[in-house]
Amino acid sequence: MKPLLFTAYTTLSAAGEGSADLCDALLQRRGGLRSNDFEHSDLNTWIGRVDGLEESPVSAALSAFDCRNNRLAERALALDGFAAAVSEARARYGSDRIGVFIGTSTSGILETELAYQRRDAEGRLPASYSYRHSHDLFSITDFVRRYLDLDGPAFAVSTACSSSAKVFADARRFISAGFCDAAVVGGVDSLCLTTLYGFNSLELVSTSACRPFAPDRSGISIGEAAGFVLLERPKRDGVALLGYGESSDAHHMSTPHPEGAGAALAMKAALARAGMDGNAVDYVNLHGTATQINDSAEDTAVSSILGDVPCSSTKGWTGHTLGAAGITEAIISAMAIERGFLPGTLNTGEKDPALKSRLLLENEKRRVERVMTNSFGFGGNNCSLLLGQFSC
Amino acid sequence: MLTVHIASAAIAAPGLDGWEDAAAVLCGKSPYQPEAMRRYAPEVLPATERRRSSKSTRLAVHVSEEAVSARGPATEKMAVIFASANGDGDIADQICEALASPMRMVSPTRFHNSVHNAPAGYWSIATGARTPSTSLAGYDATFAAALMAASAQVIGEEIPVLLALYDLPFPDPLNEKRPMKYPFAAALVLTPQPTDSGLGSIDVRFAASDAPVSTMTDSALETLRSDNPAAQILPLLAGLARREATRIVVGHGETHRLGVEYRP
Repeated sequence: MKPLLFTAYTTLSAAGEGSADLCDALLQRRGGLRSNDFEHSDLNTWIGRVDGLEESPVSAALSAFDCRNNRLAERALALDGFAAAVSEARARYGSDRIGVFIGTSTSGILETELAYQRRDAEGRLPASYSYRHSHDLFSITDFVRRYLDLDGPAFAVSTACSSSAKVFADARRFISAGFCDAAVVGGVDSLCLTTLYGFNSLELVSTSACRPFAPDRSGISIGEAAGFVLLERPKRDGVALLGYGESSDAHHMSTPHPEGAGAALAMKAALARAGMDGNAVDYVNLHGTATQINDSAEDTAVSSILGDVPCSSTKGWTGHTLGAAGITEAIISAMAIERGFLPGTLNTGEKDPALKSRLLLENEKRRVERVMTNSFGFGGNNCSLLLGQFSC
Repeated sequence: MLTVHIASAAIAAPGLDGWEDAAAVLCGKSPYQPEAMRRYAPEVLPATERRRSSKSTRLAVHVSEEAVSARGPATEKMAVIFASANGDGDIADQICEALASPMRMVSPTRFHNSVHNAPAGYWSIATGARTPSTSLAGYDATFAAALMAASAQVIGEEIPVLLALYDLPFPDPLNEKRPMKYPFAAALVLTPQPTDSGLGSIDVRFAASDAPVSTMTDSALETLRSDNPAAQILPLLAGLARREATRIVVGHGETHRLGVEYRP
């Protein structure tokens, strides 16, 4: 396929406010996880919470959209010169020639959870609560397109934890189809009770900071994050999307295929689309959630498709940011290529000896040309992205 | 502008139960009589999954099953797009209710059913297809967004795409905040090339426009169309049912429209 250039990006998570901050956190191995201090929950777990969202409503012009998820999005959009880059692109292409595709698993559902606690005697929700501007899945996309003043094709992708990897595939298809000339892709998911207590009901939540690929790994640490990338046809050198691969497990709603059959198909498809084989990949940013079965299934898939390639999970820094994991890790992968380093795996003392992959525990300084980044979600929904240095 | 071919269509809505019967209504041969929908139990779902899945998943899977059981491309080679504005409103209500109680006990099955891609997950388990699937939402413009996404995938990847649309009313109290009266689901199988016994082709064009969106002439059908985001497909289905060249306009926000030109 024809590559798409990352012309601008921005990221916000517990591990970093903007790309420079996140890059420092990775290089200095400064993680963002902490014992649960989310104001609405006392669940015994660790979380990746972004500070200050509680006190900062969205800007006045978009106040109808005020909710934790859109606050997170707005703060990310204001970082890294992202909005200015989109503004320049808008001047070049026209506001309706830029698509907006945002991944989210729960959008602003926290507003509904809190509104249910404030129902009146007749069971009605408070007058101040707006479903459309918070909980509705399109709320996040609608907020982003209004903030950036774009009116191209727009929707939310919601395929659980692969959501914001899938948006890259949509962007490539929409640009190829001529529906738009460029795209803002992104992912935003914020802390809420549904995911904390839902994952807890499945016994998938760790009571400590998550330890991907460790022998005693005990589940995920839920995090929140927002990230956005402006994708354009390349007119200069830089990091580009070279391939994407999507697949389904056809196995189970909440556990992956044990041998990672769907994950392997996604990686193979990404390589095929880029016209490359497994040797082209210098590093794999794993989905690496730190549940027993997820990590072992991904391990089997990665070693069968890519062999002895260095890989790591960065969820020890950010937590599992669910629908924002794909974009957050695509941005980490882009930084690895631009800055020439491989992040290790935070919090994991030793690798599970039963796993075959070449897991990096420590960071490595080295030239990186191409990275595979994996995102796998409930329902057996898989997406792998191949990113690489592109030269005109 | 993209051109894709329609291999088959399916529908499940009050008084529109299955494509053959619904086509007779949509082309004006039979009167439209809205009546309560029957309970769907898609045969494609294994018994365990049929039991575990929710009402909205069963509705989405039912129309998908109807669309592919017609002669057409094999499911194992077909990508799928499930599009719904509201997703699973019953589950959202049940989970928010549980989270408002002191114990906050969320059922694990309910939680995995709460993901927007639950129908896609159940569909792949049912069919064994490991092909790509995605799950979209675009509020009242969900149909326009999903039709673009499906067309772009059919042409860009030269693969048949099953596009399933479904939306059900929320239970109270959410229904007061997002009012909807009638459930609606429909599906199309779209292909890059014409198929035997296919239903024709559509040109899909996205453009700046504030032209009025297409409506239904029958007032009861128009009530259904204007009630439910998934039912925005009705004017296109009416064209298909009449087998008559039709140009329809689908809403995409305040400033843009999707123009769809159907040729039998």
